[in-house]
Amino acid sequence: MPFTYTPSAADWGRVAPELVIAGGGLLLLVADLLLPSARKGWLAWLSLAVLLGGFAATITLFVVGDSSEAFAGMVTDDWLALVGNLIILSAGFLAVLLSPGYIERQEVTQRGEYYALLLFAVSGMLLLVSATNFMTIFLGVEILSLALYILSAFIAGRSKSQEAGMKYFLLSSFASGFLLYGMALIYGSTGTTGLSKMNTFLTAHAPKLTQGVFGNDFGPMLVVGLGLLAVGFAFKVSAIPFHAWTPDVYEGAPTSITAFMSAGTKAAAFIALARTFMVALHPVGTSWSGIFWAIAIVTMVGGNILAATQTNVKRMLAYSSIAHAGYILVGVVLNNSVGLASVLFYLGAYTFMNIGAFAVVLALERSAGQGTELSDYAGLSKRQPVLAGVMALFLLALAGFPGTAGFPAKWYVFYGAITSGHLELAIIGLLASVLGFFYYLRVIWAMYFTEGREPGSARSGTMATEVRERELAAAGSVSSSRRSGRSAQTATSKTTPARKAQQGEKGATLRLPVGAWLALVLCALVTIGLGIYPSGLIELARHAATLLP
Amino acid sequence: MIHFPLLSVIIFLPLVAGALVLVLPRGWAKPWALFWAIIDVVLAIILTASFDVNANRLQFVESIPNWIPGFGVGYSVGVDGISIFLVGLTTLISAVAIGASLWSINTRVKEYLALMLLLEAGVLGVFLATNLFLFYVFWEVMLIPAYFLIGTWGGPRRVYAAIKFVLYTAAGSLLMLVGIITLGVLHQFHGGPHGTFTLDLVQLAQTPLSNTEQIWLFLAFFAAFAVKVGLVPLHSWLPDAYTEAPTPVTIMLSGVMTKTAAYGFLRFCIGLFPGATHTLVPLMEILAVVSILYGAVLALVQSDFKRLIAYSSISHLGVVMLGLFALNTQGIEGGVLQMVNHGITITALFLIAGYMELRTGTRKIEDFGGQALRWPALAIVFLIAALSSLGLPGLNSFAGEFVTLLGVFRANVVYGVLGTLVVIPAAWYLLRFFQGIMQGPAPERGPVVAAERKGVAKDLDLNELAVLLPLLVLIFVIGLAPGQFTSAMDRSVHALPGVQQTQAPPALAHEPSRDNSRIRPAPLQQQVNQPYVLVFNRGV
Repeated sequence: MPFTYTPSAADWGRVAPELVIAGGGLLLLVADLLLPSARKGWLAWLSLAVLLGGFAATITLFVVGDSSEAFAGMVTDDWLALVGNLIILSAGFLAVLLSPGYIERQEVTQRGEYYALLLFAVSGMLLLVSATNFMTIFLGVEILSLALYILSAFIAGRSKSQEAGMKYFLLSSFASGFLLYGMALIYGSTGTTGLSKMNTFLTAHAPKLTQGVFGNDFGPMLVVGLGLLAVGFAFKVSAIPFHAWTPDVYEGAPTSITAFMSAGTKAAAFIALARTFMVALHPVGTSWSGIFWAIAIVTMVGGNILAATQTNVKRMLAYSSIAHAGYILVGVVLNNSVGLASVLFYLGAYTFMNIGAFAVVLALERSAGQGTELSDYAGLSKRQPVLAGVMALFLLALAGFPGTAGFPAKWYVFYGAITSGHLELAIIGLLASVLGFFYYLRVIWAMYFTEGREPGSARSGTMATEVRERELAAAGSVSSSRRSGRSAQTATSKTTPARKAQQGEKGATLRLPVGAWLALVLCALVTIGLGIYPSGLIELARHAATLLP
Repeated sequence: MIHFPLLSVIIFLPLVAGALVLVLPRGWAKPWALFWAIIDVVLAIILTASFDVNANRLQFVESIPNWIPGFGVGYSVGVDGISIFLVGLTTLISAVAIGASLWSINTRVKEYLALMLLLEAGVLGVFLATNLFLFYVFWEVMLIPAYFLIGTWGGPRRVYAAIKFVLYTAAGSLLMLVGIITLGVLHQFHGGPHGTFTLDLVQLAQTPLSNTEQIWLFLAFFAAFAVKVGLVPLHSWLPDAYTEAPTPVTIMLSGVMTKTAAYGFLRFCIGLFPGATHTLVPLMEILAVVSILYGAVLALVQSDFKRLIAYSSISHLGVVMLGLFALNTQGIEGGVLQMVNHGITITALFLIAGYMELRTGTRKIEDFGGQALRWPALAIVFLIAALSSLGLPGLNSFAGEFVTLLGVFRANVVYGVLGTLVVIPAAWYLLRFFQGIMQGPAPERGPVVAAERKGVAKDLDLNELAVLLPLLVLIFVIGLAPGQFTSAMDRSVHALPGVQQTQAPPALAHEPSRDNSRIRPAPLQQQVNQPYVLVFNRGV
């Protein structure tokens, strides 16, 4: 069947945010060539300007957009996509703010590529949240993944970063395979890759499907397709048991990228997942909600248990992000508008509190990835009272204390669960988050209740580190094997004497560039603001969720 | 009509003062915090004075209905005849605790005071919120400052105590959170197609819940409150937290924070789930009796006097619980009065314990002996506090315990007998405590002697006495005129569902000298409409 389609001007308008960001990325590549090396610092500002352009385009679409599909049902500019855009652009904006001082400290030289790739990743995510066709969904996934593979491995001199990039690439490609296979099978059973056509088809045939999985021609194929698709997305949102890549990648990647990935990728993948399952596959909800029900429970419980055993703060945050994926999945299981709205709200709130927490990790991280152990946070409240204060705020928000963004987020998800008849998910989720209190408060405890060693003095000898870690382990339940393995790794990491001296110096006088401070302040303000007055984001999320009954 | 938002000011004044303390110069921090804490006491007195005992149940209501319309929750606060006492108690005890910090806390003073004031704001919010969402917010707001206060300024095992405290209370609180949301959802479902999700207390009270629903919800709330009130067997965080926390923080925890839980039982468990309450009375009363006995027995064997007071607190709160779940006017009014009494008495005892520890550096009863000779003033206030705690007639706790037990006897003789019997050991452990320290032979060596040689073991100074003074005054005032307090609660207690209305005992509830006509048994309606004379209305 020949297919012709002539895009109209309105079609281009509906993808304006994607165009601005992708165009900006290309512009950045050119600018990198033209700028003299002394002026490369401008690239960060340029990418901030591009992201602000993306914000402007998104807000314009909120006002004048018609929430309809473009390019023959390939993408859309509905509110779900636009709210997703806001979350992703915020994550990108914060990540760029955090980058300048940090990537210099980590001895990254290719700045132009760094920012350009970051923008390409953002454009991929934007495409992913607006995609209304399996083709564009896959395109978005691949654009963002390719950029992130490189960014994860961006610190050329650090083997952990290389390992992170490689691991992410291998496992993520595998997941893409699942995703594609699932898409192929669903296409086979419904005859379309377009999400709205799929919904129409399934609505018409859903009665037949509910007669039993094998009661008709396309039942089995569809169900296997649903399963594979779910696995593919579960990889992307790092839900247990498909989470294995997350801690290693989050730990090894540059922290600015980790912060960006943990919020941006998660938001993009979750919104695409929500759009695929909750909107397009809504009529066959009974066939897939069980899968996510099980995954959500395992992820909430497992993520929290695993996070509680960590002694490295960056790794702990990685596992905690898994646990949060579990809470968000609760919203997906519900398969209704409350669920969708709660997913969106959670993603928005989570972006700021989690990037904020990673921003503090980043500020304390010395070169070669040192300084992310729990012991490095000991006595932080005396050395860096402001940093310790905002870190405490972000951790309390992640734990879900009232007064911070984390509380309305959890409230909304569990309210949705209870009002939709899933009391068990609410009880399990909330009990699992008691564990969360434990490990988030452990960092606070290290910062506030323990005496830190003199900065830079004890780092030279590993004995002190060992002793400190043993003390820390006495309070927390840390598996001894992991601890010894970890400290051995720290001890054997390549450190030349010169670099060691530099580390001591950096530790003593910690100076953050203005961008990082700005990012921290922004995150803190939004975290508190959403905690006290969440209504604005709630109304946005509710409006976006009107896609669903 | 827009009136002055007195309740919100009372709640948020400490919060704002606490935030501002952080930016003040270090030297100003303590006077600043004390000043605003006292202003809050003054506001609470104004509130009490202008509270109308005969008017509607909830007064000074402030409401912003669309705070978070998406969640169906608004901001609403109000005060009734029960919470008004607890608000007064909280502001007073907070001011006393901050006053007690002036000389004992010298590290990171600004952060300390900010957290203390935040804790005060949280407790006040719990007592005044009339929306369950808001209530839960304040409930959790209490947790964070308490965690930091125990963990940073506490004793040697402070970290263990702080983490245990948080995990226990958080687990309970999150179960309550499930209960709160479920209650709102059930309200929506029972409202049919036009039902709305609401967490407003007044509306929730009209939800027609089935008995099974009520029992599950009761248990969800029970999880949070039982942990915080230290009901056996969920009490094990309590002695650790009380012992390790610095004295002013212990005062806040024991004096006011536990009251939030007892208040929660009354306001939410009894107020919202009358059917379940009726079914679960045996469970609650037995747990209360066990708590009284367990706390008393363990108090008897402690050598660390701070721990002794901690266990006595478990025991005394058991009496409060016993009274509340007697489910009649006397029991509940006695229980609430006993909450106030316990707050005052335990604060005095912990202050005295703190003074003694500060002087000698030890908390072992064996290290002391015959101190009354050297510390006559301390001995006198200690004796008053101890006698108040063990329930000497004429002092505050006797009145509270007597009314409480009277109510319990009326409800069920078995619990009454059990409750009365287990109160007896209180005299035993408190006198052992007092005698061990103030009487008997003086020790020949040890930390007390060393402190005396150094000259630091002096008697109470005027500052310390000034902190204790308001408590001593209240011990006598409540002891001599308890009827004025209980009668102000009448209307609010009567409004609770499923509460049997018993006549107040003539001898206690009404002072013969003041109003003899009310001894006469009066029909209920008449009794309610009678004008009440309030002690605190006198001056206005």
